[in-house]
Amino acid sequence: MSIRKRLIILMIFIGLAPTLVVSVVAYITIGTGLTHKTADQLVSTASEQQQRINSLLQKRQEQALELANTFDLQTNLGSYLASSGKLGKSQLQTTVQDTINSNPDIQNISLADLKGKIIASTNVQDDGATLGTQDTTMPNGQETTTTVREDQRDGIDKLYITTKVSVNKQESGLLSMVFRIDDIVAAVQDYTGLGATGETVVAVRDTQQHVISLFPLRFNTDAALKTNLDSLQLFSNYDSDYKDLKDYRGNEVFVAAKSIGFANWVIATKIDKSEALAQTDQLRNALIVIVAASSIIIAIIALYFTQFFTKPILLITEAAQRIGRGDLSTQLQLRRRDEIGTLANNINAMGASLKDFVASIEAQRNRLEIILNSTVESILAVDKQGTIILANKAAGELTQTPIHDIVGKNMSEVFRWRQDAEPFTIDYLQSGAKVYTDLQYVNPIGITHYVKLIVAEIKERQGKQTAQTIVTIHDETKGRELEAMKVDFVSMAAHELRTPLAAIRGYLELITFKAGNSLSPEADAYIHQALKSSTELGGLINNLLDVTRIERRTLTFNLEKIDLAAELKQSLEESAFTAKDKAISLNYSGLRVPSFVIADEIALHEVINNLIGNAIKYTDPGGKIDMLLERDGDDYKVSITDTGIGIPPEAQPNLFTKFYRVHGGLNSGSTGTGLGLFIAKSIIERHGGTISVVSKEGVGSTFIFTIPVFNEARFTSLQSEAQPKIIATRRHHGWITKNITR
Amino acid sequence: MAGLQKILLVEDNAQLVDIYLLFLKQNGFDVATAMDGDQALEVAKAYKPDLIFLDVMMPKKDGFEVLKLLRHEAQYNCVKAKIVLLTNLGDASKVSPQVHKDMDGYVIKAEIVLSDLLDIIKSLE
Repeated sequence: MSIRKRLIILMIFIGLAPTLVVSVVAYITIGTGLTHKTADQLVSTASEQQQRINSLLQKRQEQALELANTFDLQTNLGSYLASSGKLGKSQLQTTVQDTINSNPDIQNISLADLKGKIIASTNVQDDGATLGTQDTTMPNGQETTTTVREDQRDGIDKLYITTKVSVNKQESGLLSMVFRIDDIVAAVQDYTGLGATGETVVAVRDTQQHVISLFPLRFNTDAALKTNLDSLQLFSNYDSDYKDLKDYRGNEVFVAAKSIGFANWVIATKIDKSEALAQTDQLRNALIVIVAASSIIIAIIALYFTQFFTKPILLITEAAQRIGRGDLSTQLQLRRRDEIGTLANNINAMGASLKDFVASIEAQRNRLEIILNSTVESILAVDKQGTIILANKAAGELTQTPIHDIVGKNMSEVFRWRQDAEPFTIDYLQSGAKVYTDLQYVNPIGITHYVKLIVAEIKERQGKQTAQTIVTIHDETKGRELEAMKVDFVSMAAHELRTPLAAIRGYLELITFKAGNSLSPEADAYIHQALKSSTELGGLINNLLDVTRIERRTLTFNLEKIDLAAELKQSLEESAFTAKDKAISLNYSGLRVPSFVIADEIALHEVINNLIGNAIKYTDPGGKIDMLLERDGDDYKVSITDTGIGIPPEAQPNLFTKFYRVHGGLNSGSTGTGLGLFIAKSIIERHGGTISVVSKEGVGSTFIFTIPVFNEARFTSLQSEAQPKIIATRRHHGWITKNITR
Repeated sequence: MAGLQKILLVEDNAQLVDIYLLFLKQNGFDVATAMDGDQALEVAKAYKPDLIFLDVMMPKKDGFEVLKLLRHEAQYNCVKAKIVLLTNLGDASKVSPQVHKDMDGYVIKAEIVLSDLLDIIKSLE
């Protein structure tokens, strides 16, 4: 349910509740009061009427009693009765006649004996008639009977009062007086204080025990002595104040009943319930109108007032939604100083700062984009599924594909890596960072690129899972090409150098052969020196060529089963002279039994000679060089130890690299191109071995290399994949011949 | 095979020709020379050598071509002769199987001394 609805309901509640409560309370209290007042009035009116009618009746009764107690009457009656009717009748007649003449409101007077037989009457016809039983029967404890009934003579209802006449304190006769009842009727018909529907009713119980109205009723003027008033329950308990009853019309009425005891009459005032409660109803209606009016007013106010709250909230909500959708220039125009105004201002401020924030992020992103697109390396971001989500300009150039065509494709679809002509797959989801070297990539137009890859994972913030992987591709093709060109140049140059060198050597040799002993010792020596230098030069050129072959991976070996021990011995013998020349002792220790390995004899020879040569070169005269051959598991280990100048620690890691010379520079006193150890390392490693050095400056150095022990199976497999077998009779450094008969 | 006596030297470098010629003659061999492929074929046909030192890198026909012709074409009279390739390039392993079959040896000029020539000839006898 919306706030507005809630607010409206709340306001209505708050506004109406007091009104309702007050109205209900008022209705109950006042209403009850009003009703009580009406009832009380009814009762008091009933009392008044009772008294009035009572006094009227009593007046009549007294008139009767008065006459009945007249001495004359009593005496005359006594006479009449004693004389059995002979005496006194006329006196009686005169008495009654006199009385009626002096009391005009008496209609008729009749005197009768106890049996009811009329002795004297103002109605002459009645003489000798009998009084009705209703006149002759006194109710218990009563002196008189009081009835109202129709006078037969004129059809008018009259009041009949009969009283006993006592002669000498003995009941002897009955006196009956008839009165008009106009005054009583007038009293009864006085409806003051009884509103529009109220009336006074006077009722008696008739012979059938029905309750009959004695006089005309307000709403039924014909009701006298006829209409049944049973429904008013007047005789049941007429001491109660009022009751809810229905009257002769069927209307609900309130009744207040009183008794006129001596006449056995009940006099009651009644009023229609509707009239009695009219005021209460009026009050109720007024209150209802008030409550209804209040509700409407409150509802209207609520409807209007809630807008005061909800409209701005709606506006603010809309503004927030717009900001959420990206419209950051939204501004709320709410000129209010209250909390809602503050909220609106805050939202505006938030929108503005978001805008700034987004702008700064965009600036950063632009910067990043510029950086990314200005690198030489191709940079790609790859998601968990291996889909490319970002590619920089260089990546586009590498793949010769527009960047938007790369993004969205899977990494393995765009890049099919190869290594040495074999397909190479990369798991882009591995953790950490990995470097892949020497891979090839063929671009869509068929050009091969030599690349180095770095694949680095970016972890998800809290988890251990890869969120993204960054792939950096370094295109080394140009570098390789340059490298290849360099190697080609060196190779070409070396080859070119060989030709004149061969000539120089050749001629020098010829001189030595031809001249023989005719040369002077000096010339002989010079030529030999020249020859030696040219041989050295040849060696240097060979080194260069070896290096280029190593670089191009075209250095091939002719692998045979070689006796390592024998080779070592031979090298030793070859170097003996040079060592002796420098007064360095050269010793061999270790295995003297055939120790076979799989090796290229010439290459192996080169390595050993290089190591021995270095040892001699860097050892001062008087020093010692030891050569040791041992078996170390599946390898043979050769150690060449000298007592030379040693190698500084910082130089040791770089020893086996190309062109590195420990005491570089022209004044170092050391010769050599620095290639020897590089070539030695390449050869040894290609043979499946290792080479290393242990050295201490001023003490000496030990060079150690290993070669796997000869293995028949391996030899056979190598033979099968090797170059065409050269069946050689003689193989020496520089030439090979076969001995075939054709 | 007994005594290789007649040697044909095919080499385009004049100096090397000079040196080898002198040396071989000094050591009692008969030597004829040619300085390109076409000349080589002509001389071979006429001279009928026992042993041919054949340079690989030559103008007009290169050594491999000459080798093939000499080995397989009877008209040049060298089908059974010993043919040793001369080169300054790298390995014997670089040559094609056919060349391998056709040749009797392989010499890297820059890596030999003159006396090696005698060993080479000896090894072929």
